[in-house]
Amino acid sequence: MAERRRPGGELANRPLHFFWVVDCSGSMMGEKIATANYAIKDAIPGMRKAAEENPNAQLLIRTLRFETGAQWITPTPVPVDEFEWEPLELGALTSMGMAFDMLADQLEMPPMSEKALPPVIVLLSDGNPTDDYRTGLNRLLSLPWGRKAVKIAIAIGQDVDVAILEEFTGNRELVLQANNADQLAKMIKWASTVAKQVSSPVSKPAPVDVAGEPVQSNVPQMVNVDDIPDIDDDPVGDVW
Amino acid sequence: MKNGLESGQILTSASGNAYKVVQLLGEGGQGFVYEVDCNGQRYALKWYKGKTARKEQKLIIENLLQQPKPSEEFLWPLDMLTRGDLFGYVMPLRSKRFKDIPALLKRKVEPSFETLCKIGFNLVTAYRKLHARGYSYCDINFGNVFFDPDTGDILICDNDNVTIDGMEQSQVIGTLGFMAPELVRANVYNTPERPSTATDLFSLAVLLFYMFMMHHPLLGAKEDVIRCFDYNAQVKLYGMEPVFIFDPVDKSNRALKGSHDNAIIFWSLYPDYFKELFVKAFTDGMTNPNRRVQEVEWQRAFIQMLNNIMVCPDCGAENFYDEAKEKQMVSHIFWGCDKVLNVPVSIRIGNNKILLNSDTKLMEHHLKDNYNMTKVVASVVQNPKNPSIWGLRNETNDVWVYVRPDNTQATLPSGRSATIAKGCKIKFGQVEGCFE
Repeated sequence: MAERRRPGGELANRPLHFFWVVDCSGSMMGEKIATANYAIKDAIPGMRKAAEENPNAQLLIRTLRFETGAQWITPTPVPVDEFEWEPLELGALTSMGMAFDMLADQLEMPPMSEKALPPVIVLLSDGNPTDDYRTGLNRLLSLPWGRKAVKIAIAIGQDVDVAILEEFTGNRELVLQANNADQLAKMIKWASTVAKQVSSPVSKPAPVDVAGEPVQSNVPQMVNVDDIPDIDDDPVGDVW
Repeated sequence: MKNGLESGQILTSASGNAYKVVQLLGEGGQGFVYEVDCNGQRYALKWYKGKTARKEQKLIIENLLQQPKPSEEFLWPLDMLTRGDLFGYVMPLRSKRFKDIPALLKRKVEPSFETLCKIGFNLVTAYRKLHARGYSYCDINFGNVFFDPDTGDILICDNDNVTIDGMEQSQVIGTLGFMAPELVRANVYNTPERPSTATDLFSLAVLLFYMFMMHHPLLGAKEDVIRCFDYNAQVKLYGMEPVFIFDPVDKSNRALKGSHDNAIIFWSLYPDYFKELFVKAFTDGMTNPNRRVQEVEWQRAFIQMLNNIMVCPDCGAENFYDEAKEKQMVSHIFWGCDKVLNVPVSIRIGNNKILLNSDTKLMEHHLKDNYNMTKVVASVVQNPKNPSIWGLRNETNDVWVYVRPDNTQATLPSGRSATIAKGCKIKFGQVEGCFE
């Protein structure tokens, strides 16, 4: 930090809570969990750099794993500079409902602050919940911060009920389908950049009215990672 | 990397230059930036991602390649490279001495007020040159401006959105938080307004406010009651209900102590003529694109601020002297130590009153009114035989005339100094300066 030659402090900023929520059920064994572990770890320096260039946000990261039950790997929010990814270990079942419930605990006010940027929740799963997911999900989505959070789901493989993940994201476009390790790694990388998208000013492309330009309405589940959805493209909605 | 380039890859431009990709420097929404090598010289290459590599974008760059850069500060396109449907442009590499505005806002670099005023002056001067050529930048924000915290030199990057004003060819509509309110609304309602020189002037005022007040001009009480600062909140504050936090009439969006302290602290330090420009930019200029602050108005304010910096002999803090304040018999108090300051001797040349500190330099602008703030024409110096005597040294090749209060005169040739004393004058050719 340079010696202060002018009064005042840093630019006022808001916290941005980023949650990695990872399925650690037995079926994630092998390539899936190895790829996820590597891709998330690999995405952290990029998140750090983006945070460095963004004075509007204070990026805080947490990891929640679920299998038979769910646990916070990092129980308190960790500033991105100090965040370290620990390779996740696997268990047996898929307690996604419990994970939703534990997320909801964190999105209540308190512990959430009154003022923040939209939280970002990235859920990775390769299977269907083995517990009652609906109670936890309903609770999560009933909370103002739960509704305002940008929720992204990465479905790994073909054994996932995409409808459940769509209930979670509230947006079909934000359910990404990863059919191989390469796609999974790319999607994790993209998801890691969403914090930047929701918090820092980015140049908005001028609307195009070129014939044949794709219109993003009935987008297939397989999002082209080179043509990522614009998460700002909400119609003007409520301000809370 | 599907759309990207690999290190070691060689691309040849239409003009026949071969560029070898050295390394990836960064990646943004629009594309990748690589360091490339051409005949031992290093450059930067912006390479567009698939969906942004549009033919309209290519045409803009092809046009810019035909145009000379508006000034040295612009990292202007130098060459174009293509591979299939994809393309990119080569530009000069940014030297490491240049820092970005986020580093300023995070207090990772700490220029003095004097340097900050030089940065502001250099920025508005560069944009004035661009606009004078009939171009709009279209996306002024804190990601495309860089500065040297020691010298005040600046660089303007990402010139690939620069288009002819009024032609509405820009591939971007701007950056939320910097966009003029009419563009924020146009983006929401999908109406045809596009960036222009008038919208550039709004974005420039936001950028300057950020740099000088370390805060956003529209984030006050209305922001404080919003819990979730998302896209909808930004559209409301920047487009639908924008109110300046220091609007003299509409006080509904005041900066609040505890939430917006920087704005309150810095606003109290600057002279009124500077603050009045922000008031104009964010009141009349908020609703009327023709009433925005022109670069020349900012240039004049920055020159006046540079003329009027005083350094506290005790705490070293810089303060801005304001003649209007002195005329109203309001004393200047150093923010660093709360002491009332003694105004040093100054020289009045035309409209400029320049305070003479131990390191003050007079610039060509002071004599010729030509906005040249780099060419030194005179320096304050200490008499080597009697350090209590301060003088003004002629740094030009012209011969000036020193006039004492009793009207006796002495010639002041190049390299010679005249004693700074109230009531004495210097005739700099056509113009005259009077010590007071």
